[in-house]
Formats: sequence, C-alpha cells, structure tokens
Amino acid sequence: MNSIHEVREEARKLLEEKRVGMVIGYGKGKGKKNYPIFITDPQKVEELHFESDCFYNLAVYLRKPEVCSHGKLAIVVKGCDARSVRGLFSENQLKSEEVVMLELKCDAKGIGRDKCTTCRVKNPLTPEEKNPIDGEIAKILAMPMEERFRFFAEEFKRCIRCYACRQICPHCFCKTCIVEKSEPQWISSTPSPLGNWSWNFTRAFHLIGRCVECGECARACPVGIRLDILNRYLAKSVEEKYQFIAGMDEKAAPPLTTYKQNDNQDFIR
Amino acid sequence: MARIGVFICWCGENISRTVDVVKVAEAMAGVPGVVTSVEYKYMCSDPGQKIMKESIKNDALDGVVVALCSPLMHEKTFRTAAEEAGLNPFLLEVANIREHCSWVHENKEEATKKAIAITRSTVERVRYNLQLKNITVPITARAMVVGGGIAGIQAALDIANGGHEVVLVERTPSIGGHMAGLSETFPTLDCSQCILTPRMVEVARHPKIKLYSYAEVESVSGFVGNFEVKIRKKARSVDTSSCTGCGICQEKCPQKNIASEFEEGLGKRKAIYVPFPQAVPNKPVIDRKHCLYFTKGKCKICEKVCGPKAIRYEQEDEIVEERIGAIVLATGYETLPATFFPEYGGGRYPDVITGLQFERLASASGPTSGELKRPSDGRRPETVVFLSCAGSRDLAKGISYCSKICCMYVAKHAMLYQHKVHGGKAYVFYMDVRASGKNYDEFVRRAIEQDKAIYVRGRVARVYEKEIEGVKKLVVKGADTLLGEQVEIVADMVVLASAVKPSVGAAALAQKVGTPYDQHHFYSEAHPKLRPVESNTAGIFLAGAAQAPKDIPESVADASAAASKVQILFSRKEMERDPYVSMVNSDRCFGCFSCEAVCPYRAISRKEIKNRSGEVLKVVAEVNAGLCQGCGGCIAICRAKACDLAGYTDQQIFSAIRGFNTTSTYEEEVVKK
Amino acid sequence: MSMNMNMKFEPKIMAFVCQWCTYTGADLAGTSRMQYSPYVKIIKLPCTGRIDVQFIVKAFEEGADGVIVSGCHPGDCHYTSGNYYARRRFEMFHELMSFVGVDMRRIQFAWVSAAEGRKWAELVNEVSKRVEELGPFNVFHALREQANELNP
Repeated sequence: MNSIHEVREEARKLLEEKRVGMVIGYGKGKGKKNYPIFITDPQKVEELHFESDCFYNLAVYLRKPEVCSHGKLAIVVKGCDARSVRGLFSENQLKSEEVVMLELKCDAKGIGRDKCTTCRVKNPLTPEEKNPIDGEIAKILAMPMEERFRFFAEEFKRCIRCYACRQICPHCFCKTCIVEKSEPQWISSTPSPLGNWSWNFTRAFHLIGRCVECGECARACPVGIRLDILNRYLAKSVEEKYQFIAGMDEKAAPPLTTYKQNDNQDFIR
Repeated sequence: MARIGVFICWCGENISRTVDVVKVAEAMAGVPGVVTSVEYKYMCSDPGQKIMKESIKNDALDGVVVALCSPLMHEKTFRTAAEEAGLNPFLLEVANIREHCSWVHENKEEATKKAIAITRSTVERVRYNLQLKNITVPITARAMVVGGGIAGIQAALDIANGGHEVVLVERTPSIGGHMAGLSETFPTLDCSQCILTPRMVEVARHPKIKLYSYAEVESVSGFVGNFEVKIRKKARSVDTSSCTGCGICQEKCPQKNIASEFEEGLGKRKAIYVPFPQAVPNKPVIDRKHCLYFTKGKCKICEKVCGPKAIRYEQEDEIVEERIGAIVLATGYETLPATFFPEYGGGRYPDVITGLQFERLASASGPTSGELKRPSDGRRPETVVFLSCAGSRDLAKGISYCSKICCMYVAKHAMLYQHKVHGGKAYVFYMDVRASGKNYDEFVRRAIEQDKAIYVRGRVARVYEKEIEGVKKLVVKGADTLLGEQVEIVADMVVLASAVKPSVGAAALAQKVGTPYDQHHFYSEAHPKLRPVESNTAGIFLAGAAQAPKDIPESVADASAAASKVQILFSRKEMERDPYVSMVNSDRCFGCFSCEAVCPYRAISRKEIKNRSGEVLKVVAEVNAGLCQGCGGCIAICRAKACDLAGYTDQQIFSAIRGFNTTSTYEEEVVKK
Repeated sequence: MSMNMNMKFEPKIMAFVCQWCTYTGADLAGTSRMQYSPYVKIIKLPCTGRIDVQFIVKAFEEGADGVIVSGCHPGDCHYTSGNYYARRRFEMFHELMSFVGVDMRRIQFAWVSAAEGRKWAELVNEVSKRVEELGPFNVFHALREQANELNP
C-alpha cells in the first residue's frame, strides 16, 4: 500500500466486514511522535497515522493474549517489520490466515534509524549504503581478544535484568524464558557480572537466524547495552555462511534447524 | 539426603598401579550424601558384586557409582546386579577410571587426582538419576510389503512362511514387476517367467498373504509395531470375486490399439485387459482412459459377454485400513525412457530402443514371439549396437551412480541376439565392464569369446538415420578410446542400457511412511554396512532396487534379509528398549517445532492443548517414545528448555560439570595427606 | 582453575563427547595404553546433537579453562544427522564467542571416531598444552568472583 489513506480504507473494510477483530497500527499523540494503537471500531480508523519515526516493531503485539483474544488481526507493518511477522509464521507462532498485513511502502528515510541505511525491503531497493553499526563492528573486530572480552563484559555488567529487551522482541516468544528455568538453573537470574554475561550471550545465541535487526531491544534497553551490534554481527554471519536472511521467506527453514552435508567445518579438527 | 554408595575397583593392578584407590575411596567417603565408599580388588567378580549388592540392601542406597573400567565393559553387569539387589538399575552409573585414567597416565598423583574428579563428577550426576523403566511397545505381528516385484514377492513369502500375516500392496493390476517381462536371466540364461511365475502363484494361494493389486498406499500413521495404514484400492471396474478370468471380455473388447505397458509399448492391448497371460491375480481391469463406455458413453460389450456378470462400471476407489507392525518397501525401479536421449535419436527413431524393450523383443511371450524384428519395419536386424552407461555415471544427465545391472544384461542381450540372428553383428559400446558376481565375468567372456560380441571401449556421440538402398539405417558415431579412433557403425537397431532410477512415487511414499531417501530418491538404509536392509525409521525395512540399483539375486537376498528382520521384530509380543527418550514439558513448550525439524525419526508430533470448552489454547510438541531413539537433538535446539532426555537430563549434566570443578581444592587435600 | 603458590597451573578442561565415536575412541586410547595429559575430563552424551552450547558456557562458569567438544565424523552419526545440526550450532557459537572476546584457542571442536584413539590422545595433549600456555581463563573467572561478591 502506498499511503496511510489506503491503509485506513482497508482497515475500515476489514473491521466493518468483521474479517478482523482488531487493527494494530501507529497513532499520533500530543507531543509524542507516535505510539501503538489498537483499533476495534471501524469509525476510529482515521486515528491511524504513518509518518516519520514510526520505529516500533508492532509485531510484538501479535502474541500478547489481550490482543490475540480479538480473533483475527490486521497489523500495519513497514517492510522490515513484515519480516518479523513472517518469522512468526515460520516458527508456527501465527497462522498466515489469521493475520492481515497492511504493508506500507516506506522509503526508509523518514524513520531514519541506523538499520534503515541497509534496508533490505524498501521499494525500490537501492544499493546498500553503509550501516553505522557495521563501523562499530569493525572497531570491535580490530580489538585484541581480551579487550573485546572486556568491552562486552563491561556492556553486560550494566545490565539490570529488567528484560525489556526480551519483552519488546517479537521473537522472544517463549512463555517461560530459559532464565526463569530452575532445576537446573541455566542462568543466574539476579544481576551479577557472570549472570549478566550469560544472559546476554544466551539471548544473542537464541536469536541467531531469527533476529530481523529491528533494533528494538537496543532502543528499549534503559542502560544502553549495544545489543544491536551483537545481533547485526550474527545476522551478517548467518547471511554469509548460510545465505539466509530472517523473515524474508516464511517457508524457509531457520538456519539452525537444517544443514548441508558440505557445511563449513574449518574450525573443527 | 541422598544415600549413595561408591564402589571402587582395583582391577588387579590395572587401576591400582597408577591410581591410589584407597585415597579415592577416602575422598568419596567425605562427599555429602555418600554413605559408603569401598574399594575391592576385583569388583566385577562374584564376591565384588556381592559387596555392592549387600550394601544396596544394608545401607538402603538410592544411588550407586562403580568406579572401574569403561561402561561399555560392565555397565550392564552392574546394573543387572543392582536390580537383583532391588535397586532400579538406572540409578547406577559407571565412573570410567581405567580406560580414561589409569591406563593413560603414568604419574600416580595426577592419575589419582583425575580418578577422584571422575568419580566425584559421577557421584554428583547420580544424585539426579531418575528411576527409569525400559520401554515396552506392543507389536502387531502383521507385515505390509509395498511392491509386488521379485523383492516384494520374496519378502512376502518369507514372512508368510515364517507364520505371520502379510499384506502385499501392488500398484499395477498384477504382481511380477519387471522380472515378469524379462526374457532370460543372467548368468544362467534361464527363462525369467519360468522361475518367477511359480512364486507369483504361491503368493496368490498363500493363506497368510492378502494381496491388494491395483492398489496404492494412501497414508501411514503410527510407529514400529503399531502402524495404521490406509490403502486405496483403485476401481478395477471388475468384481474380482465373481470374475472367473475366462478372458472373453478382453477378446471381444473393440478398443485394441492401446500401447501395452507390459510390452514396453511394443505391443498392443485392449481397454479391458489382463496385463499378461500369467498375471496374478488373473483378473482384468478396465482402463477408463481408453474404454469406449467411459469416454464416449456407449459400448458395454464386455458387460454383455461376461458370463458371471462381473463388470462393474460404477465401481469407485475404495479405502481399506490395515493394522500393521512392520513395513517392507520394495518399490523397485524403472529405467530412463529412450526419449531421454535425443542425441541417440531416442523417441525419434523407432529402432532406438531401451534394454527393457529389447527384453520383450527377445521374449518368447513377447510381441514378436521372441523373433528379433525391427519395430519400424519388422526386418531382421543384421547389425545391433548396444550402448551401456546410457545416462549412468553421466553428470550431464544428473546421474552420478552406476546402474550396476546393465553390464550384465548388455552381455546377455548380445548373446541372445547372436543366438537368434546367426551371422548378425553385435557391437557393445562400454566405459568399463563391471561383472563382479558369481559366474558373472565368465558370462561376459562367453559373450565376447564364444558369441563374438564386439566390445568397443568408448562413448557414442550421436546416432542418426540414413537411408541406404531403400532401407532406413542408424549411423552410430563414437570413439574407440583404446585405439584412439573415431568409429562409425551402420546399424539396424540401437539398444540403450538406460540408467536405473527409483520408480515414480518412491519419494512420495517415503514421505508418507516417514523414512529418508537420497538425492536420487533411492531409499536410505540405516547404516550402509551394518544395517543395509533397515531404514532409519524403526519398523520400516528395505528390499531390492528401491534402495539402489540391484540385480535379481541381490534383490532376493535383500528381501529375505528384510523378512528375517521383520520376523525378529515379530518374535516377541512386546518390544523392549532402553528408556533414554525425550520428554516434553508441555507447559514450557510454545510450539516453535524446531525439535520436529531436527528429529531424524519423526518422533515428534503436534498436540493440541484445549480448554474445557474444546478451544485450542496452544499446540505443543509431543514425543512418541516408540519412535524416539534418544539422540537428544530436540533438546539442544529447544530455547525454552521444554524438553529433556531421560538418562541424560540437563540437571545430570550440569551436576556432572559442577562435580568436576568443585573438587579442586578438596582432591588436593586428600592427595597430600 | 586451580592455582596454588607452590604448584604449577593445572588447567581444567572439560570434554563433551558422544558415546558412539569419541567416548569409544578414548576407550581405545586406553586399551592401547597411549599416554596423555591428565587435565581433560570427559562428560558422555548420546550425540553431539545433544550438546547444548550452554553446557560449554556452564563449564566456564564452573571454572573450566578450556573445553573440547567431540563426536562422530560427518556421515558417521549413529543418529544420521545429529552431528550435522551440531556443526552449524557450533559454527555460530564459535562466531558469537569470538566476537564477544572469548579466545577460541580455549575451545576445540573435533571429530574423533571410535577407531581414532591416537587422534584422541593427540587432541588432549594439544589442547592441554595450548590452555596451559594461555594460563587460567582469568578474564572470565573474574566475572565469577565478582558475582560471588554480589551474591555470596
């Protein structure tokens, strides 16, 4: 869809014809730039907005019980957020017939986040520019091992274990997270340098081949841990190694749930 | 508090020479929860075992660690002994302090410290061992064989003669497979039908074999010992119970120019037909695509002439259900059609035929009654060129493998040709001759030396037609790589030994059954050397060319091997197996089904969790303990930690890790004493 | 880690191995009386496919200085494909670990078959020597000590 007007029209139709029970989209508040809104009344579709800084990845709401209880859903998505929705399809968290994607054409300029510079889904696709995060990655790769370790250990030490990163992430859909597992306890659940290291490491590992680099975890982190760097690095290596980009094709098997007989094993003796 | 007993073996001097077993025993005695820690010269001897058994009873142990040789040696011995003493055998673990310690280290202090660490880690692990029970699965002693060629026939007869019921499913109207269409068989040149048809009749008459011909497997569910199979009986349009097989319908049917599948397209059949005279069952089927009544709505001559009134135009496909304990897949092969080889004029020139077509031309029951004639004009071919490796070992055709049977049948064809056309010339183009089998090489030598077949080493580049003195001939251009020359042969007929492929639908059937296949769609065996007739799915066995190109003796040997495996499975009412299987906690599972994707055994299925009013709340993974082999792949991939492996739980492993590391200071103290 | 003023550094190395190939290969090293370094301790698992990368993290958390992960060669897996999935998981684990600054000389993945007792002995010696040279994994263990201060 090209404009918010078309989205509103479609949303109205969907609600009036009762093809969906709720439309999730962006609204405009006083002062605030944008915020997620949940529309059940077709009269209220005019509240849907789309302009600069609609950075939320709304896909996270698709799995919230208070949203799911409205039956079939429609969701306003930018091209990038659609990757999250497709990721949820591919991991059996949603059925494609239960979600209507109202995909907005986005020129990736208005939003203006780091991720937009290397957007994979904008229409028309423009040649890849330099992602500022890649610069950060290069800096880290230039560090000696111990310095790298200290860099991340210091990042992770700040973690207050509020789990905002997890709550905002559409792909952290486990009802009970590994960190809440006891007997055995995999990760110490209180803030401590070791537990924090383990938690942030584990979350990054769990997102391998699944993270769509929406950047929400880094944005939500109250202490500014550079989770985006970690995720970006892993997404890049997944693409390099397995030619896989998360959320592009809902039918494609996530890279860790499949294999090739001739996969790289240079690191194995 | 745990009550753990630790029993340390000297193994004569094998352990005690480098490990101070007394110190190990002392060290373990101080571990919380360890109530007894003793060493003995030969723990595995009767008196040694008695020490453990008595301690289990007297000290009321709820966990045992035996520190001795590798568990591969004596785990079973000590678990049995523990069970005899009333302890669940899975509460006993072996600490390997011989192969992994005393035998590989010389320094006594270091070896003793390592033995303490290994034993301590095992003690920590055993705290979390669960009381497990071997899993028993009931067995339905009834087999299904899919495919009624020689492999399927042999498997069905062997199982049935072993006293078990067999359901034999054949896709075409008759059993017999490719072998029924062969002329003679190598290396003995005995008539194929003469050796096959008695077996076919035996199948038909066997009280333990239920034959579904003109039927296909629709779906398979369940697991080893407990499959539920749906079979689609295709509408034959004939009531087989009242039909007497008199053949009058076939005789009177006016639709007579249909290419016969059995004759490989070289002969004709009617619209109502029995594929060949010795067919089993010897009951006709109406080919609805060609029948005048089905296409044009009139005729019904067969109905009129049928004495017992067995024609059923209104018959529909019928689905029957069978309960089965084991399945043998014997779906066989097909060969690439001549049309696959445009460079050789396949499909364009009627005298370029495949090996299977040549079989029909050479067969006494074939369309020419065994006289060799060109399909185009009926002339006797004075020169025939046989091309082996047509498609096989040819990456350009997408086939990397050797079709294995061609070298032999090409030699046979050259021989049969010479026997039928005296003075004729048989050329064989080959890459190399692979005749490794009993009396096989001798057979090929006979073709060359006695029957004067001319073997030319090299590939044929192309075949084209040329009219010479009013007769259309085939010019074969190729290279003789031994002489390094181009050769050109003017032939009357070209026979392609075209590559063997799995039969159409093999992959689709494998998906229904849930068993793996390779990139060419041949079924994969569980182990290429040690389990060649078993598939990786418990209860599914393989026979014949469905697994790889095979000749008749190999297919028969396979079939008997598979039948024997089936009978081993059926020899007990229940199957017992170790309890190391995956367990799912459905509260934690959130249904991403990564586990399902990585499970090699299709042991994971989807279970709907419903509320009281029947609404589906979520869909979670469920493990079928009958199928699960306990590899643990599902557990490592599970982010939510919703599953775990009995016998190797996360808790046991974490505890073992901790056991190694918490010992450091403690073990040093003991060693220094 | 264990360091004593009077004693040389004795690295703690934990090996996660599959029971079909590497465990049996290590048994063979024993029956062949091959002598090797005593610092590697084995934890037996059914398959490399069972090895959650968290086990490796846990080993370091519990004080290990090095880790070996070993199982059947590709194509030899008792469960046909366990080691193939494991290989991918380990590759990405390797990526992440080295990105966050864990010196991957401390972690060695290896294929050791049931017939490769010699390879097992060599592997153990090589990794032991390497970790001995690297010294205790102090940067990581420092996290643990700080953790203990906060949560005694």
